[in-house]
Order: sequence, then C-alpha cells, then structure tokens
Amino acid sequence: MTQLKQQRNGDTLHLHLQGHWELEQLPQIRALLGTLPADPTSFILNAKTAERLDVSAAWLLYDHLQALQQQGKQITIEGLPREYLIWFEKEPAPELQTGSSWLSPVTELGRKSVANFKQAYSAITFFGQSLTSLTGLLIAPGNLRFGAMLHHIFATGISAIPIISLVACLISIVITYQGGGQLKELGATIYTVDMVAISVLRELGVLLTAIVVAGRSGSAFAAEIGLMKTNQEVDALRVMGSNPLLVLVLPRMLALLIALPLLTLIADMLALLAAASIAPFLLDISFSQFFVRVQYGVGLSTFLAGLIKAPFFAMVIAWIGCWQGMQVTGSSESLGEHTTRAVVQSILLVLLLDALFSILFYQFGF
Amino acid sequence: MDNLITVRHLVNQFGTHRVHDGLNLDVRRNEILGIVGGSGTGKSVLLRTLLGLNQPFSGEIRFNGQELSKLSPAEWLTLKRHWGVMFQRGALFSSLTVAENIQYPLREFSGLTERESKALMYIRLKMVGLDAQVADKFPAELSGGMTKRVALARALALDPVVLFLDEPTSGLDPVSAAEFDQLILSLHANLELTVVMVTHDMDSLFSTCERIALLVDKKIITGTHDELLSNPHPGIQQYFAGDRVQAIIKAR
Repeated sequence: MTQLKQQRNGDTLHLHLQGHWELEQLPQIRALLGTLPADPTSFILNAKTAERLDVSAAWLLYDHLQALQQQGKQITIEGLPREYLIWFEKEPAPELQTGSSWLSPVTELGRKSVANFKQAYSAITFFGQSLTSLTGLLIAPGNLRFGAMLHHIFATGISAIPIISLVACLISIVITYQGGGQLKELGATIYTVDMVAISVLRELGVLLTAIVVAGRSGSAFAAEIGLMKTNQEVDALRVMGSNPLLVLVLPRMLALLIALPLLTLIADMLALLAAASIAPFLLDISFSQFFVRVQYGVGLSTFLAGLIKAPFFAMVIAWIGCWQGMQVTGSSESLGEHTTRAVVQSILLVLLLDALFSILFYQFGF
Repeated sequence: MDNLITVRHLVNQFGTHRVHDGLNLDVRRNEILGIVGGSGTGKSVLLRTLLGLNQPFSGEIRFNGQELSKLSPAEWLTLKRHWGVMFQRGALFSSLTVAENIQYPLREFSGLTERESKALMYIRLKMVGLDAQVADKFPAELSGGMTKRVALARALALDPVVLFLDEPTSGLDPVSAAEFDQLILSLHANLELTVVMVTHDMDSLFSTCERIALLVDKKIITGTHDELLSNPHPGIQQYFAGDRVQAIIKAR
C-alpha cells in the first residue's frame, strides 16, 4: 500500500511516506501528489517512514517538491539517502546542437553529395582492388581458395536451379500467351516462336537470372561478410596476414562468374522447353516444329548475345554484394541497411549494364 | 532470514547429458550471492533457468514464494519487472543510443512522461558513474567498461528488487573491475538490492559476495568463503586449490 500521511501544523505541512513507494505504484503516487493542498508555505517530507522507497519514486517526489520550490514554497526533505540527492542534482543536460537555419537544406545537400561521392569512390576502389587481386591470381593460381569457391558455386548456383527454372518457365509461358494471342489475330502465329526465342535468349533469360541471383546471393554475400566484419573476423584475417579480398571476396566473385552463365544456360533451355510444351495447345505448333523454327529463325548470335552478358552481371553482383558487406559497421541496423543496399544497387547496376549492352549490340549490329 | 528465490530438485538435461541433477539453491533477500564453478558446470544454464530463458527438465523454482512454472503470462510479466539482468556482453540494442537503451524499459513498462523518463535515464547514468555526454552515443562507440556500465544502468532502469549479473567484471582491466565491484556494493547498500552474480573473477567474488554458491557434481554447495574453504569436499578443495585462488586467499 502506498500512503502519504499529511499533518498540518499552521502554515507547515508535514508529509510522511508510508508503505511501498515504487515505480510500479506510479498511478497512486501521482494521485497522492495531486492531493497536496496548495496553500501551505512550507513542506517537510519525511522519507524514513516508507517501507521501501526506490530511486524512481524518490525522484518523482523530489521533482514535485522542486516544482513547488520554484513557486516560492519552503522545502525540507528528511531521511532520503545522501546518494539519492547527489544523483538527483540537476546537471545541465547537454543540448544537442541542431543548427536549423535557412541554410540547412543547402548544407544537407552538400553533405549528402559528399557522402555519395565518397561511397562511389570507395566502391570503385574496392572494384579496382578486387581486379588487381584477380590478376594476381593469374600469376599465382595457388592462392585461390578452391574449396571456398566450390562451396559458393554450390550455394549460389546449384541451390538456385529450382527457383531459376521456375521463373524462366513462368515468364516464357506468359510471353507465349500474351504474344501468341496478339500475333494470332494478324495470322502470324509462327512468329510467336521467334518472338519468344529472341526475347528470352537475348534479354529475359539472363536478366531474370541475374535479378534472382542478386536477390539471393548478393544479399547473402553482404550479410555474410558484414557479420564477419562486426565480429572482427575480417580484422583477424588482416592481422594474420591474409588478404580478406583473397579469402572472402575472390572465391565469391569467381563462383558467381562460373555459376551465373551456367544458370543462364539452364534458364534459356527451360524457357524454350516450356514455350514449346504449350505451343501445340495454344498456337497449333508442334513441339518439334517449334525447335525447327527456333533453329531456322534465330541464330547462334542471339543466344550468345544473351550469354555474353552473364559474366558481367555476375561481376557486378559479387562486387556490390561484397563491397556493401565490407561497409558494415557495428550495429545490426547497419547490417540490414547494407544488405538491402547490396540488392537494390546490384539490380540497378545490372539493369543499367543491360541497357548499355543493348545500345552497344545495336551499334555493332550484333 | 527469508529467501527471495528458492530452487528445489532442479534437473537440467540436454539430450542424455545431465547438467544439473537435483540442485537446491536459496537466495536470501538483500544478499550478494556469487555463483561459481569450473567451465562447463552449468553456471550459465542455471542463470538462464532462473530467468525463465531455459525450461528446466524438472524441479521447481520459487520467486517470492510463487512458483515460476505455475505463473500466468501476466504474472510473469509483473515478476520480470522486478528483475534487472545484465548480460555478459551487455546485450545493448545496437541500433539504439545509450539514452534510448536505458529509456526502453521505462517507456515500455511505466507510465512516465517523456520528460520524467529522460530525467530518470540521466539519474541511472549518474548512478553507474557515467557522464551525461555518453547518452547520445551508440553501443558500438563504447569501450568495454562503459558497455558494462550502460548495461547495468539499463538493468537498474525499473528499480529491480533483484539484479542478475552474468560475469560483470569479465573483460575489464583490474582497475575497472575493482571499480565495478565497488559500484555494485554501493548500489547494493543504497537500493536494498539482492544481487545474484555468475563470475569467474576471484577478486570480485571475495570482495563483493557475502555467500558463494559453488557448482560441483551437478549440485550446488553454498556457504560463506570460510565455510567453503574449510569444507573437505574434494570438488570444493580442487576448485580453490589453484595457484591464483590461493594467492588471493593469502592476500586476504
């Protein structure tokens, strides 16, 4: 029970705490403090009579009495441990300097630009260092962590086959349906095959594979390396004389360089298979007829134009994923932030690169 | 003297490996109890079991006379507000500042206004001997000793009745460790706190703890330093026989 015994003595009010005065009884404490009359000129608090008085409750009392003192009342506190009073002594709380002047949007813009510039600089530096280490591997191939690379080929490649296959099949079925329906009306049903084959082989096969891999493996790279960074494992590697690039980044980069073209190949094949399988029902084109048409209408160059992009996309995904992982500092929030950024930036860069390739291929008539 | 926590016939088992076998423990009100034992004897498991983080295989734990396994979720929650826990590595929320870390329990579990909870946060910082400037820092920017102090401040936020400390002085230099011991002693004296600490630090054990609970043979033997040292049980003698422990005992 929380009780406050009030004893009026002329203009002086004696307050005796009784029972438990704890933070848990906050509502009662507030209510009891609210019952204090306003007219006495002097208050005397006796804290000794309380069964238990915790720091928070003591401060609430102290704070309330301080407020009364501000109104010109006389305050005496008895029986509070000396330490409490030392703790409660007001210190000028450090106010944060928030310079919110009219210039702040400009400074903010400047700060952001500088930060972005630094980020780009760091990313490019990282890329350059990775490439240098990669060339170093050509001279001394024994430095390659072969086991780690195989592990990452499995993690990024083989275990991604089901999802990549599913995505490839679904997208090619969608295109066949949408395109076939339109071309049927023009009486050019057979060109559906060309359309599906060209769009899948040139663009969609490799692009979708890269996007799925960026989502799966780019984020995994960032999270793995980021957690190692927060655990000081990266520092441990450095101290032991190992190059983190060689141990952590290159196996991932090489694994993706091998896995992504192979995944693209699987995606291309399955997309064509899926389109050919539904062609007999939708377009009256038999399964074998479909592939004859593919062979006749679509050259090897179309297939190569898609496949050739895969290693570049792989490079970008591994680069951004590992670099973002290396940027992680301390907190769990930072880990999440950089993992997200790894996915977003690598997808963005993959799309940019794809656009660049389109222009390039067009210019060269490839 | 009345007991705040009583543990009876506690059995903890992982697979076929028994960690505790019929363990009994009493924690008295307003004492500082040190739980010690060699590595792998189940100190942390015991602490986790007391905190309800680990479901015991069998046995009963009473806190203030209430048996933990029979509590409703609401009663559990009320009970937990009487506990302050300081984890070994602080377990500060890394995405929150020191101020937000300490204010977290105040904001969640009390009806305090923003101004009041902020003032109380600064008081907690002062209680553990930290500057007000620390409040705006993030846990990643703190040194080991500061992290421990902030963790202690957070554990003290709701004015607990009992404070659980998991290796409070591990990873601290001897000077900071001694300061930390002093801090715990002074808080204990001022706040009528019951303190249960798991520790490896013999200095800290002998200078702060009134009673020692030693884990041997999957059970606990409690007593004051002198009682334990004069106990002929081979497990106890072995634990205190090491050179480093002997050096500390001699120094006392």
